[in-house]
Amino acid sequence: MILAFDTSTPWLGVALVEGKEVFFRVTEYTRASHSLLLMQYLELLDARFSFREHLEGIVVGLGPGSFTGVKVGAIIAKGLAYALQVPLGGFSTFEVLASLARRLDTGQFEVVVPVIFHRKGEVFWVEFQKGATSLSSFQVGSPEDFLAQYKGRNDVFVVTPWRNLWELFVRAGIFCADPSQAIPDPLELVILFEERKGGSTENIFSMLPLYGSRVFERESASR
Amino acid sequence: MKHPLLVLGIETSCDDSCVAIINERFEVLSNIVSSQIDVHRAFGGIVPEIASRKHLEVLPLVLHKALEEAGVTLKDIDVFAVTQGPGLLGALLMGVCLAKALSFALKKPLVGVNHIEGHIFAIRLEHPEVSPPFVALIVSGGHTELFAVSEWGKYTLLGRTRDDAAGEAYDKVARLLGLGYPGGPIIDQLSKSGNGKRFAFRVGLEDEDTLDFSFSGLKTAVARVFAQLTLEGRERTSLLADLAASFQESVIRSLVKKAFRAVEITGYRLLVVGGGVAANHRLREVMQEEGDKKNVRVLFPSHKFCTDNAAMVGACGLFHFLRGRRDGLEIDPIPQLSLGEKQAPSG
Repeated sequence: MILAFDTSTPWLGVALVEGKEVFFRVTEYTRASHSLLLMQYLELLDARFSFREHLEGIVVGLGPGSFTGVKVGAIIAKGLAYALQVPLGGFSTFEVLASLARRLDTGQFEVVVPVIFHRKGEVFWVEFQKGATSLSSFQVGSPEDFLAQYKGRNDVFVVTPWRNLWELFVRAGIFCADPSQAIPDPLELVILFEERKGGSTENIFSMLPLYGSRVFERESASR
Repeated sequence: MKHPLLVLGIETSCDDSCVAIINERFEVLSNIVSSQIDVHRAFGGIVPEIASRKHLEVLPLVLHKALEEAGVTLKDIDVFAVTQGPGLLGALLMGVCLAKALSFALKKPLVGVNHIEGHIFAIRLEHPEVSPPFVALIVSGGHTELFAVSEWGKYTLLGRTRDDAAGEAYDKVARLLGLGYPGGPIIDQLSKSGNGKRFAFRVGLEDEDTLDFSFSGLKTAVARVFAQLTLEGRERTSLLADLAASFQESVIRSLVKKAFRAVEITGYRLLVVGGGVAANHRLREVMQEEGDKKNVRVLFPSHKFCTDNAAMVGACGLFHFLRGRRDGLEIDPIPQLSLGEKQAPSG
């Protein structure tokens, strides 16, 4: 069995999968209490499937997203993987959204761009060539910066679950997935983990989330 | 044969990532502390978000080392104890989430611990003979509190700081004097070459009939004198040492006065001093002298158990576990967690 969870965005995701069989999968919109809800789901799943004894891997969403959310997911994943001695995988929300886009009708587009809302005035994005899911460096800027870069591009398909961003981009004529189809799905974490098995196992001691924001670089520079 | 009960403690309330393992006889099998001082020094104080990120980064390794040093595996652990508060929310969250994950994975009980109570239990690690009643003064960068401990687990809050904690005052004054961070050890060291009687600083609430403390005015008083210093070279260095020593004497005078007033009110004959500031050499010296004068036994944990550590968390967790406490996976950090009911001084 593979356990996947993602606490990095407001959509808490949990999935328990064995081979092709999906035992459990949920995405729940919640603004806080990810750590409490996640533990409740884990207890529920263990009561139903006794998964602890049969676990073969844990995959976690690494963000970027909420500073607290990404850390909560990462520390719980590390703790579980260490205690149960199972391999640990971690993928960014960008990779999850790019993976998800492969299942949408994006044939005419050469580039897929997942966009993540961080806070007012700041979004993160990264370009994936058609079908690709491996992350390179990502960009940080305002929604206006994003529009300046992509407005008028007919070869770009944007994936974002944040409705406010989606409305802004659609109004500017950018092709976007419907936000309801762009919610980070924990099943994508399992798919990525299975696809890259052997090459994607994370080290429990060194795995870190993607924080995204440059706030500390700015603070350091100003001191 | 069943091995002695083992408790794994986790402490992340501030900027130290700590994991320790103790047994049911309160013996410390390992006590690993990963300090973040070097990281925060650049900012002149603790940056909460950075503290929690560092906890995430180093906790698994600290956990691994603690198990290795104790010569046990996670499967040997019987109870997980973790600091639930008070402290920095993001920092506490890392320890609590790790403890919950371990407790869930291994189906072992979890006990949430009050950090301040942990500091009181630190004395039990090296002085198993100590038993209440006693007065406890917990003094650190985040806390300055006086308790009457009538029995283990039963506390009456006699006094606390109304503004800055004593350790916080050390940090602020050290920053003001350009001495660096953390202020406590730096000022303590510099004071050794200074004249503590040169400047007479009055500490807030010092002469009032309360066991509460106030240290915020002290920084302003030091700042006022410091602003008048125009000397350079050796004279300036000597004046800085005198300022540091005078500041330290004032803080210690206030702590000693209130602590022994609490001893007088309660009638207890034992005073336990814990927390990071309890590692201060001068505080230990003056407290001991006063204790000898008044025939009161004064006890300090050794330095490694004064500063934040997980052995004290394990000890406190063990005590509550043996008394039947079990916390579920729904426990969450409580940054403002308090200890004991406040009682006005009398007598």
